[in-house]
Amino acid sequence: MVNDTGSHRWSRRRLIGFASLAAALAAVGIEWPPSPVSGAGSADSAAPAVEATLLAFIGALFGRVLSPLDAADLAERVACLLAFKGPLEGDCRALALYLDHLAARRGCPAFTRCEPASQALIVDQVMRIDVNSMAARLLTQLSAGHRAYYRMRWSAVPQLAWLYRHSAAAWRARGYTRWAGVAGDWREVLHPGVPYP
Amino acid sequence: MSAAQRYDLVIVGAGLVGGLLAAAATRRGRRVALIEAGQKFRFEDRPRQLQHHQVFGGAVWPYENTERDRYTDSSASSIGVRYALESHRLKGVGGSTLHWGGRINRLMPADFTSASLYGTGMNWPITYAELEPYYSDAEWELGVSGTHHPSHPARSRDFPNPGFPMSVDDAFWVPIAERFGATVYPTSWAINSRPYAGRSECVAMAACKVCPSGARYSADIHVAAAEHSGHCDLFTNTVARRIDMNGDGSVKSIQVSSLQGEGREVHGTHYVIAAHAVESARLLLLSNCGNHSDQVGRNLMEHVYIDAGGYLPSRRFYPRRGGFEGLESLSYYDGPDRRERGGIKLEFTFERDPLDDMEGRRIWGKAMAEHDREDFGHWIGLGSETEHQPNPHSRVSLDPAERDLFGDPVPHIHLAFNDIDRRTQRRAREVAGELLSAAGVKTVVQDPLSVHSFASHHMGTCRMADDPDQGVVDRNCRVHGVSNLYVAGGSVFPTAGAVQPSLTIAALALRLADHLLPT
Repeated sequence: MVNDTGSHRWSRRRLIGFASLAAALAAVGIEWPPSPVSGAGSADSAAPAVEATLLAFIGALFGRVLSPLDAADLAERVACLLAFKGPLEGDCRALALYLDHLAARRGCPAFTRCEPASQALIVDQVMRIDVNSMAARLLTQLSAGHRAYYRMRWSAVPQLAWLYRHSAAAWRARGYTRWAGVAGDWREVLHPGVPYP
Repeated sequence: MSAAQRYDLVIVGAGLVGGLLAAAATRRGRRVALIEAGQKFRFEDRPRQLQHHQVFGGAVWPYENTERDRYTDSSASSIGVRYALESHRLKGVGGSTLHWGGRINRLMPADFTSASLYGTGMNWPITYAELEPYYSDAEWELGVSGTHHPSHPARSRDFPNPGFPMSVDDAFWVPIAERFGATVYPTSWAINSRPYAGRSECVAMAACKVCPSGARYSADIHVAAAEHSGHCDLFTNTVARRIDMNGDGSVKSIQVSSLQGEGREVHGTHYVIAAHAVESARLLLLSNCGNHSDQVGRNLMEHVYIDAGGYLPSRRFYPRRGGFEGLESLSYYDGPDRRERGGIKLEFTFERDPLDDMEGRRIWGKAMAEHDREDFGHWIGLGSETEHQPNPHSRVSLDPAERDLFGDPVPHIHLAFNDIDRRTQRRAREVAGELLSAAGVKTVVQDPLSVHSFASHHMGTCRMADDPDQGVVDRNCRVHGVSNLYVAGGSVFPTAGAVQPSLTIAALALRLADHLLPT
């Protein structure tokens, strides 16, 4: 009984705390709640749409217009990432949903349909999410929606960046015709390569 | 394995030593039991492993088993950083040669007599000349591609494969080194420059840590040969837990357990512990074996890597076309000042990916594309492999509290440096700075000396010495006081030198094979 009373008291206190916190966060411009990412892990968004959104994000993140060949190579790897059932899949889906949410705010039907300039601004907004701030640490503890929001930034974004850095697309952009895993002739190193396109 | 089965040779560890010994023994008609804590990876899976790594990151070789591989570490209290053992070893058939780079070097003759020559370290009970024929044999077993250079120690046989020539990028360093009176040479590799021993020549997949073509040597090749002979029983996912002794001071059996906890005994005539410098020492300590002079686990050595580099906007290089960079220098290895500091080997690199700067420099979008265009191929780097002196306070011991999945104490790592080590690291940093500045680098990027990176070379812990009070094994790798127990691998090194230890490990294994298994 004593414990129950205590927990009710704590709930009231927590409610007041949440309300104050939400007001304070709203005042400094932090969205509450970051609804589009909340529950994204279980969202049944069509996989091709999520893939396309993540591909567009990768292109904008690295300032690249992806050729059809690049897009095909990357799509295969993104599909591999999404097929891996676990937290990472949910984080990637959350990112895709959030990108579309930000796109809608800019009047685009989807992130993939935004002009490059708008995509760049959205990428900038995502990349500036401060996962190390005190607010991030606090909110991650308090709300599942915020946990998904911050995870999207510190889990999905670096994973997609890793995937791009190790992809054919990254090396093709540098003028390379081979990359890790593609066989060639070691004697190639005896001659200069091609300049950066 | 039946309870009655008795082998000529029982080997704990199916890595470089285990593979070479098992292959040598079975060629000579001996029956071998090879006990390996890890799994057997399939060669055909290597492309899939690479692709998985390229998508997800993490280990290319998923060897870890958290409960089996637990350890504790207190290195931060002495050298300021934790030692991450899990990223520096690989448990599985083939051992650490599954993920090694494949650089091949012999120790220098002076490394065997540093106490006499310089008053540092400790003399080996054997000389370079005694080991030299086995160095050559090891190069032929592994299929080394190399070109002899005047700075290399003397050799009795040529390399089995021609060396990889100096690349167009490597040639940049030649005149700069000459200005300092230094010489550079193309690195020797355990990578085929031509088809050799049934393996393909290098096809430049730029993925040496997994080498999907098999051109880079890994010890699973020798394990497979031993198995193929029909004289070798390989027991994977089987952990050696104790060495059982007879009353006469000889080994009776090795107690092993499957990962599910099913235990049994393996009996043999001779026993070789080749389970890596950490686990070999741990097994002896767990068995209270060979530690009469409190030497087991002591003198744990690593090679500290001193990294430096910088941008050179005026010159374009073409990194990662072959997958391995191939220039080294031994000009700062030896010399009169080695009384004050240890050996230093220089390795020249051109790799740094500007795309890695995203989070650190907070650049993305068009700015990142521009950054990559401006910086890619303009980085030159110098990695210095530095000698770590034997030091009794640098050691592996049994953790008094933590237990593994069987309830056995886990290994506790405590790396320590002495003043000579710090002077070696400082000198390596100076040399790198001088050479990079001379190359035209305006801003040399170097970590402070308090930030250590390591070469993943574990040595010491069961060192070789004629005097039983000074070491664990004798000149033939036999544990002092035990008639049929041997330790092999980097763990028996009395000193570490400043070169990759694998060829010396292989040479010692072949020498042990001759000692144990006369033809």
